[in-house]
Amino acid sequence: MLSRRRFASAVALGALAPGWVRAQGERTVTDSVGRRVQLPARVERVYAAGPPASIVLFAMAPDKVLGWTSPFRPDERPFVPARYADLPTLGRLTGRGNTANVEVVLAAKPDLIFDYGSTSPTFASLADRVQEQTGIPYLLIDGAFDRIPDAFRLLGGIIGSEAQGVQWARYCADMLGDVRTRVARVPEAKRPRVYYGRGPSGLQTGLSGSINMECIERVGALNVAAELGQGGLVQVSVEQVLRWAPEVIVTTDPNFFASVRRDPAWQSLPAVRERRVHLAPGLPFGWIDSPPSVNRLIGLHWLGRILHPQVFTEPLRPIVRDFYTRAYHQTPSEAQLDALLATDRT
Amino acid sequence: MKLEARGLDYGYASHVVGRGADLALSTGEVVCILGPNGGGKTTLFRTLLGLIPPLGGKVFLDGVGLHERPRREIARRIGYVPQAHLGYFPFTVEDVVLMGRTAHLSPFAVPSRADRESAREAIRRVGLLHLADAVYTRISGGERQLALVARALAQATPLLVMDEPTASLDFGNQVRVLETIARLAAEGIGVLLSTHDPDQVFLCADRVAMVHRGRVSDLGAPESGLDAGVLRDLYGVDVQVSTMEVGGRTRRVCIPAAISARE
Amino acid sequence: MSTGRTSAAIGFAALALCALVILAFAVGRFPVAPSEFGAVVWAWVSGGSSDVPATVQTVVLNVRGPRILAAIVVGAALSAAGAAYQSLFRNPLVSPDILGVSSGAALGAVLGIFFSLDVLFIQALAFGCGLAAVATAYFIASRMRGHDPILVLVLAGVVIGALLGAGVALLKYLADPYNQLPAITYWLLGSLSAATRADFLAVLPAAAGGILVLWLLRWRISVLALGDDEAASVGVETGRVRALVITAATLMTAAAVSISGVIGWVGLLIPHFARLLVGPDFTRLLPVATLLGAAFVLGVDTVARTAGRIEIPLGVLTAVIGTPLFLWLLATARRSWQ
Repeated sequence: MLSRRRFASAVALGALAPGWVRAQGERTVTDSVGRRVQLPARVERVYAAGPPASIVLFAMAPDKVLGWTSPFRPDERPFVPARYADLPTLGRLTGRGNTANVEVVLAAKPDLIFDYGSTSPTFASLADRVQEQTGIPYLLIDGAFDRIPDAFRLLGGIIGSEAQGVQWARYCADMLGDVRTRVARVPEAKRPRVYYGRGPSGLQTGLSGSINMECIERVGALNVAAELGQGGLVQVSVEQVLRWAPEVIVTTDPNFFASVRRDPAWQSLPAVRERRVHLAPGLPFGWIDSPPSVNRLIGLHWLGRILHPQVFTEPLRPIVRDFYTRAYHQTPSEAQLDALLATDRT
Repeated sequence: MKLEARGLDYGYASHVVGRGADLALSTGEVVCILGPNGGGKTTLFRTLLGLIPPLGGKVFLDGVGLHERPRREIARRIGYVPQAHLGYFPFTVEDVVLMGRTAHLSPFAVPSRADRESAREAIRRVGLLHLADAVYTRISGGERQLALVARALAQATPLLVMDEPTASLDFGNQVRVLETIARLAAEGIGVLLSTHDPDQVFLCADRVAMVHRGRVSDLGAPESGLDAGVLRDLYGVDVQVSTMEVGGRTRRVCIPAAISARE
Repeated sequence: MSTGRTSAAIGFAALALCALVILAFAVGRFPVAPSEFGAVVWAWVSGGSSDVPATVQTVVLNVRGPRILAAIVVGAALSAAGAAYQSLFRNPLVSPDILGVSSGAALGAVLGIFFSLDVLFIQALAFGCGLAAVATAYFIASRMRGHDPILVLVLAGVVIGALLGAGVALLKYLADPYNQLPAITYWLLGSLSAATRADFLAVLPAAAGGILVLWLLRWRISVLALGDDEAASVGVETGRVRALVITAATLMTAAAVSISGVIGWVGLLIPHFARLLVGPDFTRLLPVATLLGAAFVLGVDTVARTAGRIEIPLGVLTAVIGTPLFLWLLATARRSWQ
């Protein structure tokens, strides 16, 4: 196995020429899949290989960001300081479906590349591949929702931003724990049945355990699609949704949100009749679903207030302001906050 | 009714096949076009039918330029019997013959019972009635050719253009087709047919024209215009043209002189 | 082919369609009792009201009803267009997509999804781009003189289809992988799960109009199967008829694809079955192919929405069911195009 070989060679190197290694300032770190990677002592230039990784890196160490995987849209830019929004677009380098030109990435001279998300064997082997191809250390960090605090701690240690890493880990752990406690206070019987509709026709949804439902499932919502089993994203029909008769409908697609109240087929749903259809805010990054990164934390509070107003009692606005300041390094204006919190107005 | 070509240059945009052709077909006469394989007879016919545009000169139908008339009008005056080919779909013989009635239908109509009867009659005239419901693609090449003749008959036009109508027929069917042609001419229909067999010319043609090296030469009546010299120019083989008494009438026949009997 | 056999075939197809309509209304994820179904239909027909719960009424009138009607229209349109094209191009292996209409519609829809447009705009773009693709192919073909017109038309269609397919691939590449790409993928797989009454009404004029044009020209389309020269010599304006048939078939196919996504095999397979029953004469082929196509898509869509725990994409199912059927056809019925 490559990682074992690397371990062996690292130990051998260490054993043979310890003085040389330490003089270079190199160190060996372990990523989330147990790959041991050699890194320079100081890491200043980091390339985040995918959108979730970009968001995590930007939150914790914005000045180490080399570039983004895709450019900011005009409506996303105002939430991020201009100097960061203007960073170059380098593309995705996740090992499959790359949009990055490897030479462009190399020309940016990153000290390391990392990706944040799936840690399946496929991605581990892809990480090895990219590392071999580019010669740049490539790390894989586990993006599971519950392990966000660990991810920050690990990443902070790796790139030399331990303080920020620990700070973020604490913030995330506090928020996750707080939400968990509050949700636990809501009895099973009072947890609403929620349908999450994606796509322009609102007929894509996530099965139980899918990455798209991670945020929603942690706010004490009962996913109506859970009866179909475990899995990822699926397509359903209107009839299926009618049979489920969800109490609340959540969506991230503005077109679906607008049409659901006009469409006679959806009208008969209690959720639509009682105006319990909610459009999640999405600027600069989605609040509840994608990209699947730390941007979803604020969605917990947003959705919590919608589903369990009795346990999420304090106002949302200051929490959003605080989150945005930390994660995106710019305090949103009052007008921006108004706009964010009003996407939902039916 | 007269179909006339004056100074016709025919062929395709990429290459000219023939130049300066003068040809006329009137009702009640049989005109044979004689020429070797690949001589451009089919291209000439397609131009005369208006299927491809002339490269120069003009074709007149009753004094009016052919290419100025709509398709349906041309189809009511000139019928076409092409060389038989394998069809794409398993139509029955009756289906194929029925298509000849199209010119008599209004734009959105389908054939009526009267049309079907005309088709059946045409099939009977070529002796194919026993195959009327057979699949066109399954019958022999000769039978397919007869079906196409029947189609032209069903089209009931005063003029007929036939491209090597006896090409794939056995001797008996060849004779039958030639008889049909002679009978049609007697009934007042004008027939223009191409052949490469001089004997057929002698058997049924009132006039013969030669297509050779891109030139069309009207030779007049076969008795006078078609002799051994002409045939040698055309085909490059020695023949003897003789006269015979057949059924009380004098007929000319053509026999290749080069093939010697085995001693 | 006797008219008796043709009438029997039409009768069989119509009966199959009716039976499937009844079956389609009867099954589905939402439990609807036959009595409730009857009450809703009666109330709708007589203009009165019923005491059936509103949701049930919605399921019958706003969900299953439009979906069934949409399936019928899509199936009819694709089959009729396929039958017409097979006669027109004198080739039993031709489908309505041959001139690029599906690739064009796909590009239009993917563009709509890429720019996050409303569903209505996505459908309109699909329809428009489908028409534009064929118009472009036709225009290119008309500029090529001196070649067999059918051949250049088919080649132009193939070329346009390839170009548009590359466009779709490019858009998939650039699309947001979390939101847009799944939507694009689902659209390209084909589905009627989002069919609404508005969709059906939008598609109906184009489909019905197209079928009407084909019906009026049915004899001439049949004659075109002889080949251009012979068809012209018996009095068919081949160029004009071809243009009209292509226009009608393109309108029908573009309309169908705009609401259902890309569904293959229907336009290729159903005319074959119809030809097995009544022969190649288009005057008999058209009604049988249309009815069989409607029945087929309705049947497959009913399976798509009831067979698995999730919706099976319609395009996948028509291929999965269509391929073995096609192979069986190939093995047992060679005379279909001999």
